[in-house]
Parts: sequence; C-alpha cells; structure tokens
Amino acid sequence: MDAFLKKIERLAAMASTEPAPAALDVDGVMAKIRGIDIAGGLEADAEDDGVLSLPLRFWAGGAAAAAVVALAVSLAASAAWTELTSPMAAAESLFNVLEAL
Amino acid sequence: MLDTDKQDRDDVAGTLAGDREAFSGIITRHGEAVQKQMRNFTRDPVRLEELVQDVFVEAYTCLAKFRGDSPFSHWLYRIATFTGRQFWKKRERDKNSVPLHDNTEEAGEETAGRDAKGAAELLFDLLRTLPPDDRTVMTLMYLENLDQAEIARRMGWTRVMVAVRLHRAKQRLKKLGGQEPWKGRVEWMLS
Repeated sequence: MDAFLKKIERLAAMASTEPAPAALDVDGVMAKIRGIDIAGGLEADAEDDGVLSLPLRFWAGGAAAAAVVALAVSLAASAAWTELTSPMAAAESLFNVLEAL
Repeated sequence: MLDTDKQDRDDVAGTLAGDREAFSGIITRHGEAVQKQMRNFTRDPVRLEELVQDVFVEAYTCLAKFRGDSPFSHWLYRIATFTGRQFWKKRERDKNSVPLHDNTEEAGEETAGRDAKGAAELLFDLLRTLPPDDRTVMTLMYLENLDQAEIARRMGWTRVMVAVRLHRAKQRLKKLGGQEPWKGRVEWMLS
C-alpha cells in the first residue's frame, strides 16, 4: 500500500481514541419531534380553510417536489411551527422526507 | 435484561401506535453513537447538533418504513450516513455562493495538538478535499472502520461501485500526500 495511505490509517487509529462529544440534548430532539406532530395538525387545519389545499393534494398524490417545498415553506412560516424549530430546519426536514420516499 | 434491538423494536412499535414519547428511548440509546458518527461529517458543534437532530427527525418521520429485516441500529445509522452525505452535497452545491472567508462551518482548529482530536481534525480536513461520494466512502472506511461489503450495504451501492470509488479516492489522496500542506501536516502529526 502507498506510504501516504498507511499514514492516513495511522491518523485514523489516533482519531478513533478521540473522547466522546458532549452529551446529546434528548429534550431538544424530542422538541423537534413534537414539532412534526404539530405540523401534522397544521396540515389538517390548513385543509379546512383551503390555504394549503393545492400543495396538499400534490403531496397526497406523491408528486411534485415543488409543491412539497411550497408546503414546507408555508408550514415553516406559521407561528406554531416556528415556536419549536427554525423555518429553514423545518423546510429542510420536510424536504428530507420527500427525498426519502 | 432486554437486548438493545428488542428495546428498539418495542419503542418503534410504541411510537407507531401513538406513544410519541417512546421515541425518546431510541434517542437515549443511540444518541451518542449517532453524534459520534455525525462528527465525521462536521466539526462545528452547532452544525453537529443540527445534524444529529436531523437524523432523528428523519428516522421518526420514516419510522413506518422500517421493515425490521435487520437490527434497527443498522437502519438508523444508514439514515445518519445519508443525512451526512446530503449535508456535504448541499455544501458542495452552495460552495460558489459561500464567501471565501466563511469557512467556519467545517474547518478544524489549526491550534489542535498532536493528539486524537488533532488527528481527527487533520483527517477531516484532508478528506474534505474529495468530492462528497468519495469522501463518504473514505469516511466510512477510515473513521467508521467498515469494510467494502458493509459500505455497499450502508450506501445501497454495489460492491463494484464501492471498489471504484475507493480506488478513485485513494488515488486522489496519494497525489495529495506528495503536496504541501498535507505532507507536512501529516508528518508533524505522526512524528
């Protein structure tokens, strides 16, 4: 094997002994999870008043990334959502869902 | 005592049945491992926290897709890898719009010593010279100690694809090994 790659292996061995990062904020993650459920509630409310009905119809049909992004942005802009998470994070999270489908 | 995977499956079932708080058991059991894994994708503490959150949010929203064919942890760590890779790809796409001086997101600390942290940061800096897919495959191999078959399973790639990406990434690294500042930094770290 190339000498430099062997050195990289030695670096990786050194790096593997790095102390664990700071403890994870479980409550912080759960707050985001609760935020998703609140967003679910918003979808139902939005359908009632028709504000988001078009993007939601696209979502139900499993189509159109643009429509889902529009939905994400709409949800992110709502006060109830932003109490729990940032608009960008909300939009990205929903976009992640789309990409995972 | 219940084994971890049994506990995971119980919590998945509980969450899907409407007990949202059951998901906190999954976060508690796997949080440290996910955090350690995501530190291979960013060295910035704020970004790290966001990425870890993204992994669990992604897992939560896709929980119904967990088929249970393999341990829950495999499924979760796969999501973590994809989340990290997606983060790198986004960074790559945004590269042209990020001011040159705004390098704080991924930069290691130049003051890092000749220790585990310094080695991890140097390795991180070195690997980020590679394109996202090559960087992912090298990170999985060098920092997560996965073999080619495990990398293929984790990424959903064929073994051949993994081998090709590894070969290409190693060729790039070998070339870098003869150049400064990498040559000097690596020598210093290992001296």
